[in-house]
Amino acid sequence: MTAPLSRAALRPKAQLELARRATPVRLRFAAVAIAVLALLTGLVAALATAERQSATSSAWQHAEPLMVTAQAVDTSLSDADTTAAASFLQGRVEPAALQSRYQGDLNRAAVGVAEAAREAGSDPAVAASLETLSTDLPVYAGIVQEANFNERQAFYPLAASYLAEANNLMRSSILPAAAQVYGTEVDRLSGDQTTAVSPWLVALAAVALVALLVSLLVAQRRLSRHFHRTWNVALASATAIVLVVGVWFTVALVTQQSGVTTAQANGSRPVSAFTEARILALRVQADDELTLLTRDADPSYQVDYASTAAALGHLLSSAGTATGSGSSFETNQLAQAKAAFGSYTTLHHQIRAFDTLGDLGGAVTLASGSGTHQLPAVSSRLNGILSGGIDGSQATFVTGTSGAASDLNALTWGVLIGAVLVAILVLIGFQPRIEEYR
Amino acid sequence: MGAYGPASARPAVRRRLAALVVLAAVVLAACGSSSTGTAAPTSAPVVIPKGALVVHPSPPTGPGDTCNATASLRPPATMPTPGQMPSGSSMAQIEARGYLKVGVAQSTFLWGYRDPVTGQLSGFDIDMLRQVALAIFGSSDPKYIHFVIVPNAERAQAVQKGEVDVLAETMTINCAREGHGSDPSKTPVDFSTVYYLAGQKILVPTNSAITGPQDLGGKRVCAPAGSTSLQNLVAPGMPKNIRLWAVNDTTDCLVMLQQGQVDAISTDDAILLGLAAQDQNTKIVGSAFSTEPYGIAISKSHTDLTSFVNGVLAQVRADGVWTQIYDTYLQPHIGGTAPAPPPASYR
Repeated sequence: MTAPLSRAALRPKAQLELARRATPVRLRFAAVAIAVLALLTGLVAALATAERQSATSSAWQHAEPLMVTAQAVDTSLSDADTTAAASFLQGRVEPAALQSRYQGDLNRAAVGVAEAAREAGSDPAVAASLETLSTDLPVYAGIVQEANFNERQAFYPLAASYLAEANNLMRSSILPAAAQVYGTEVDRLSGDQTTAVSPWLVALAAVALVALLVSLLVAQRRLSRHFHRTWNVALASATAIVLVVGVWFTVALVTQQSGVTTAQANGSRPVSAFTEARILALRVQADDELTLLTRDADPSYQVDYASTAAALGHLLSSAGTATGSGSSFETNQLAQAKAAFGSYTTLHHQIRAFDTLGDLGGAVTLASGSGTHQLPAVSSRLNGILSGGIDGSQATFVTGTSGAASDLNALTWGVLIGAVLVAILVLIGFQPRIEEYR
Repeated sequence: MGAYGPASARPAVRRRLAALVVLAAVVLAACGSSSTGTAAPTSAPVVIPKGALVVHPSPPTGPGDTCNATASLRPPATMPTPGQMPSGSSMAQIEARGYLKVGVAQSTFLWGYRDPVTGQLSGFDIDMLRQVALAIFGSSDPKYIHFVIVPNAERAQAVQKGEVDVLAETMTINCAREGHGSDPSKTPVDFSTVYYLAGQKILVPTNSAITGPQDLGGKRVCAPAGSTSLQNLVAPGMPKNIRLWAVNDTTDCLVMLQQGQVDAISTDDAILLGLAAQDQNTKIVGSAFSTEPYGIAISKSHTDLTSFVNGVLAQVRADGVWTQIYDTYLQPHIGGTAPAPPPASYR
């Protein structure tokens, strides 16, 4: 649409001829063309902004809370299972602290499942898993209750059998369902994050902006030459608006993109890594506890320990290096977690040595005692560091993403209003020249 | 049977309470998800113990006990003084090491289990082994005995590989395990003389109509995996269509019985006694349809230790310790007065 004018600008020899033929029709055509270009530019820029803003807001206000909920369900359930086993190792009367920790875990999980069902229950990707969680959780709680009841009666082997059954339900049905929900929410968030930095509409809007600016400048040059007036206030104002909105658009999107990218790199990615590590850490602890407390005939917990501990070690070593550079917070937290897991591994070998050498009492004491080098303290150090990693990265994510969403506040309306103003000013700017022909 | 603890009235109440809690939770969960309008009533998940399986064992092969399996080695003429084992003997090696390594179970109630009150391993089997340690070291200090929890399926290997010196885990003495007969074990072990005589019976809920093996036709019956108990249930003369469940740990059978997943449990009465003691709503029925003499397993290469253990058993039979142990663990659940200990038979 701007082609005739631009071409004219590019071919100086034709300029005079073209100017001579500058009829009102031709002027009117140019005015309308530039006005339409302004409106289209505004529309594309608004669409680009809206797409990014809605994806960023969705990541921050929808996908991320859902992921946090799913993560809380997943880790709470793992923690409940480990705590149930730990309280058995403590003996007949459950310590109040462990009892309330277990109850708190189950409550968090139940609230999380209800929340997830409310937010995403109609999503077929997670509906089946949420249903599994809703139906299995009360059954799990019932079996653990049965175990507690039998332990209080000093029916120790029966209590251990119920505990093993509860653990089996947890591992074979409940945790996989929770992991599926969590994985789906992580994918959803990363989908939002990809959309939030999608380059295509933004590139189109940038091209349109440049074209608009060029046509405005050329139009002003042509008009000033032809009509010997140096200053067209309306068109100059339109140009200024385009420049201001263009700078605003560029700065806002660059800031938003960097906010989203940083929030992903230093927020949601480490959240996933720390969450996975925490679940694995709880699982190795449960493996060690269950090995000791239950049964004559189940070596499978130590088999599970070997693979889970290997996965945890690998995760802790590779998490920070996955993207080349994690934040210093993440690196620091990972280093601490690695050291804590090192102490745990040492303790694990001590417990196993006691157990295999026939000192079951010594093994149980190491695994349930209150000393700083005994399992409850050592594992809670590791868990604390990993939870700290989750919370810290979580905060980074929320700050980064909410900031990025607010970077785009008003920009959508800004570009639309700007476009309408520019279009009106263009029509106003051409009008006196057209009227000179009357 | 007759296994009524002091808290006998309360469990039913507690259990009902637990059921109510579960029900409330189910209702709450259903309410929580009903806001989507898609929640449909689903049947409660069937939860069974890990590893529980429906099995079809083959009946026992070959003739019964034809090797006089329960005849063991004669004790030494004079037992060595505790703390002064004859040099060069297996006992002297144990003494030099500083502790006796014993193989036990920790989930067989009344026989080998961890007492949650004391945190200590307790049971009939375990106290028998403590007597062996006492005879070697002359002290019942716990530092002289190290307990190794040995899975049922690995009992013979643990003994033969020397992971434990002696093992007592409700282990039936038979020809196969001693390396004789038509299907001898690949890792044969020696046994002490008989320290308890068990036999296979049936455990059912108190309101069950089952009174003996003849009533098991069409019923779901649970027994430990890989056990002779399973084989005995498909032996000639048993009802044809028993639906058998095998579990890794005998206590899992009681879980299945309480959850209504099986109608009966059948294994050694000694073990059933421990299960019945954990649920007063069950009873042991019928008379024994097998003979299960329990012995302490010892490596075939330590015959001096076997003789020594038989000497210890002869003492505990004679000096009333056997009866004390019986009275501690079994009498409260069987009632009456202690029977005479099973007599020793030597070869």
